[in-house]
Amino acid sequence: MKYLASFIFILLCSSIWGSFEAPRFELQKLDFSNRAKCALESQKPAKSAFLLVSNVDAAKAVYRLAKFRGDDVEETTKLGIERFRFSIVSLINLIHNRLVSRQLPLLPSDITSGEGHIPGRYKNVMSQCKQGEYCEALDEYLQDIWTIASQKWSPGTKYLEFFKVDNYHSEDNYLSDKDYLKDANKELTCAYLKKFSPLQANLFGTKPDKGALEMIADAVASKDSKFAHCEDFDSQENLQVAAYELNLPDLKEKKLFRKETWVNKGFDYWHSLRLYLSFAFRFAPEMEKMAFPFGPLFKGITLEESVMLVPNGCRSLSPAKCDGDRLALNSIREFAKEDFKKEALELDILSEAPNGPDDDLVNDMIPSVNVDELDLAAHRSASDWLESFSGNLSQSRALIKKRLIKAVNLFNFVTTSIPVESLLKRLDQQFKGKLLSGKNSTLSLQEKNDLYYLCSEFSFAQHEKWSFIRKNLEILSKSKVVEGLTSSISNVSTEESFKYFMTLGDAVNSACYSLKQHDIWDEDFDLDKEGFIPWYTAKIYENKVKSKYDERLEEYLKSNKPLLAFPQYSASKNIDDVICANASDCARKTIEATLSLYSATQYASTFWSLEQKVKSPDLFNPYAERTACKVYDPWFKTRSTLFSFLWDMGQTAASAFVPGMIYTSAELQPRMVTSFNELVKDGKIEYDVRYKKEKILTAITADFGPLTGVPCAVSLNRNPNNPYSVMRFTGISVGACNSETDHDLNVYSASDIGPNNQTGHSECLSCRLNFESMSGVVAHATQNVGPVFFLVRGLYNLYKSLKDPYNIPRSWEVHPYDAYETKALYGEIPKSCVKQLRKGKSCLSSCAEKVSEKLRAIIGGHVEEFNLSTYGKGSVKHSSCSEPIITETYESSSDTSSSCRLKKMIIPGKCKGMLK
Amino acid sequence: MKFLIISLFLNLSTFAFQVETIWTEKAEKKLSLTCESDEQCVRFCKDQEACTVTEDVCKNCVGTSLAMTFAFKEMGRTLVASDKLDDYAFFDLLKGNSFVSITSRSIYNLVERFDSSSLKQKFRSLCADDTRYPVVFFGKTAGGELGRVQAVWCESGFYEMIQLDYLPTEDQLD
Repeated sequence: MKYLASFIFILLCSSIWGSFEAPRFELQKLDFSNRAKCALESQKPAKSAFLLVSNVDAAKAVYRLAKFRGDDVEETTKLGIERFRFSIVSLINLIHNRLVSRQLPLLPSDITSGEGHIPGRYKNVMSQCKQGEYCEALDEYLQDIWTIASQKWSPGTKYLEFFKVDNYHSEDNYLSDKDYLKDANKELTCAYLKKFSPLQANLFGTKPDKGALEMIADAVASKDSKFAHCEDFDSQENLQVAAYELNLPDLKEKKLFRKETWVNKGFDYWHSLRLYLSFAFRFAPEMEKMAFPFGPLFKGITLEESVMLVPNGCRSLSPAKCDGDRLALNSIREFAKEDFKKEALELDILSEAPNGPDDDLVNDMIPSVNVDELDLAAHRSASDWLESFSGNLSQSRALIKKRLIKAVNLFNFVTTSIPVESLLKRLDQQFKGKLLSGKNSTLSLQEKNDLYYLCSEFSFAQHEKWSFIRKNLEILSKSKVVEGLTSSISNVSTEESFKYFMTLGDAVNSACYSLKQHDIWDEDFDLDKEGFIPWYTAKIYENKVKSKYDERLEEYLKSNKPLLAFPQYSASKNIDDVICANASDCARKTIEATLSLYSATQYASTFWSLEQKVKSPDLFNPYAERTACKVYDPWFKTRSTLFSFLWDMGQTAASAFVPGMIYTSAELQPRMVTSFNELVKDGKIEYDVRYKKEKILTAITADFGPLTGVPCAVSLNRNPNNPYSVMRFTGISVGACNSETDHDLNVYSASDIGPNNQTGHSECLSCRLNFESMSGVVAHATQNVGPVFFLVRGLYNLYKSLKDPYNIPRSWEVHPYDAYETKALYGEIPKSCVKQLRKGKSCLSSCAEKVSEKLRAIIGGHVEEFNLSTYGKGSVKHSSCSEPIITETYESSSDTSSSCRLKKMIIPGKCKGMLK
Repeated sequence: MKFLIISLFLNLSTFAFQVETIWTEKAEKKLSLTCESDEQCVRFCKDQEACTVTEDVCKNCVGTSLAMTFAFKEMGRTLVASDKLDDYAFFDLLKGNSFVSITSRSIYNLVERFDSSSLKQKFRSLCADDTRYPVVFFGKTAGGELGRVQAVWCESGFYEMIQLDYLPTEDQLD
């Protein structure tokens, strides 16, 4: 009886699912590009994309559902995973089919460009929607459109109805037959990716040679081990993730004598797909059927964190844009790298004090491309790669969330429980009246250290001139991104939190600068660096010093009661139940919390979906953002453009002895990204003149030391009007200047600083480096050097990279079937065929070519074996037909060319069903 | 008089109806009310002894959004029960149809282990009466996501819930 019920249930499900299907699959040509071409291509819309699905949340929810209802947990979870995957691919297929048949309009991806027709209501809605905030008007708009699209009306009627919703009247707003090749099949093709293989060779290399072509041919022969049908769930063994390849074949790139089509409409197509997918997944009635019997549950899944569309190759799914959000989104590729876990500590994206998403652009301007940068080949299967990528991303997201919750809790409690004035009073008490009351008390070594930490951390984080976040905070306090993320859990606005931090910081800094430093931190003082908070040791000591901050707090709490803690602490004694242990802990944690809010804002687009659409990072092309931001110019080599470059001293280092001694690039604005030509001509270093030069000398020697062997021309400029004029060099300049009137600094070389001048003029050090001559020194330098060295090494790499021939845009295309058929005909890829195949052309004998062309047009697939006669009957074996296909061909040849007449082709009855 | 006091106490200490979450075969979420002769409940259930209320699955609730993570992590610590509310408040909340209910056995919990003892402990700490599965009610945001915590149903009554934002400092405790 139970079996009968199950059988009926499955039958019922089948009949419901039967009305939808996943798209079919056919191999497409592979587009190979070198670096410069890849950069250029990033400005065009992709025709092939990977759909990356993580069904961890869906599977966990279905598992819990089964447990809750007492169902068979294993069976139900497996069914749930299948339904989730099926719903996504079917929904994408449904949206595609409606988009190409005028049953859904294209939604313009750029409402500001002024190109193409932008319907009025849509423009209005999109201009109202703010990033990071829910946009009700957009859902209402999409609802109006989707309701029409779901009716059983003719496309013509729907077209008229769409016009009532908004003025969709232009050719720009629809994909039509004119956008496709003649008699083209407008299907979206889909394949489940079992393995990355030479059939994605475009991601692994640039110019395909004979060996690569042979490998592509062999991969076609074993394509069943690389791909499966999107609906073949038995092949989709990995229960956590699934990767699919989606292709849009036969789209016209350009129209003859008319404006380009796909180039104009492609971005709108992907933008529409992503918006409709997000909407339809939650609201479309069709979704209920596709996801049956889990429809209502799936609606609650955060689709944008489970699904990602990634262009297959150099092209993009969204128009090139140089902004922080796009940069942050593309930072996502860090999670795909094999050494992510090993490198995680070093990555800016996970740093507690990040430089921001533009950091990568400045430090790694010429990354490799199309050489398996994402370590696809390092994994046994595509699912293994995706599992690792998706796992790294979700673990990192969890870490950022944990930090955010901690930060929100801290500000929620501290701002109401201990106002700034009260906290300052407590700080003064903790340091025996030395900090604010000017008492002449004696501090213990521990107290001296604690005061040193407090002053250093606040000085570094909140210095009015050199703080690496201060300027950003002013901007970020107005940003609604973190506000949007934390609004449901925070009682204090971001602006109020930042205000608390700034007021506290200004007071602490001012008190620290007034201290008689030598009286407190005398010659005998030995700084215990491990007591700094983790963000500080990471930033200043680049993780070479391991912070033991939490251990020290636990030690402190063994004999002291915490200043602010949850009531649970008295029983649990768990440090997680402590908000802050004492006044300096409270104060220092406000920096940590501010940094958490700051980093979440900087990388919000990496971890969260800030718009109501599925994400589409340019995973395989790091040049997308480099081109958009004009950091890389694809035509650089060709045009021989002269360039200069601002190197970002960033927040390189501070002295081990002087609290908060900072030097930094004065010109680089936070999040500023611009082209070489627009970048400032040279680097500058400024010093906090309130500190003694001897201390500065120590820090400079530590950081510039490795450069002492580098050929370097030092000059001194005493021009008060333009202290930086000396640094107009080609190549790199390392500079140090100070133009303050009363505390000037004479810097003669990296290791020689003269006495302070008290007159009003400026001093500059500049050190000109020559790319060619520094190569040897750079190559032999040790790893144990300061951050400046790495900046210089980065520039040397830049120079070296730009010398290579890959900076002249070049591209090649290969159809895998052509490679396969060539090998099938000749037993190998003949050398003479390599050029031809690389141009995307077949390299067969005239009759073989005729037969192949005909079969590809009527059946698709490829010929597996040629047994053709030059004059009369022959046969071929085809990938889609189990029986031989009889042919009759007649070849005529001259000395220079040959032609073939295909007189007859008999498709066996069994295979007629395969005809298109 | 003594009897009156005892019966009044019983009235205050036990709620006259039970609340339970249900997930149907079609994965729809419902709240099941068993009235046990409670007049308001019977009235709400249209003269029936029991009824169900459909609760739409909220947007992004089947996931680990910041709000969901906060809800499960901070339950019983930052999110705590406060004053007892009138029973009307409970039925008004249900009628408003803009709530999200969660328990320690919630399917929404992708943050911690399903029905773990530590999570049970957190939820049980909300009710002073050892309710096995307290039902915590949240509001919804404009976008239909999990909103602010509102109340908790315990067997002894319906209590307001708040998100703590003030804690006494150590010296104030003394």
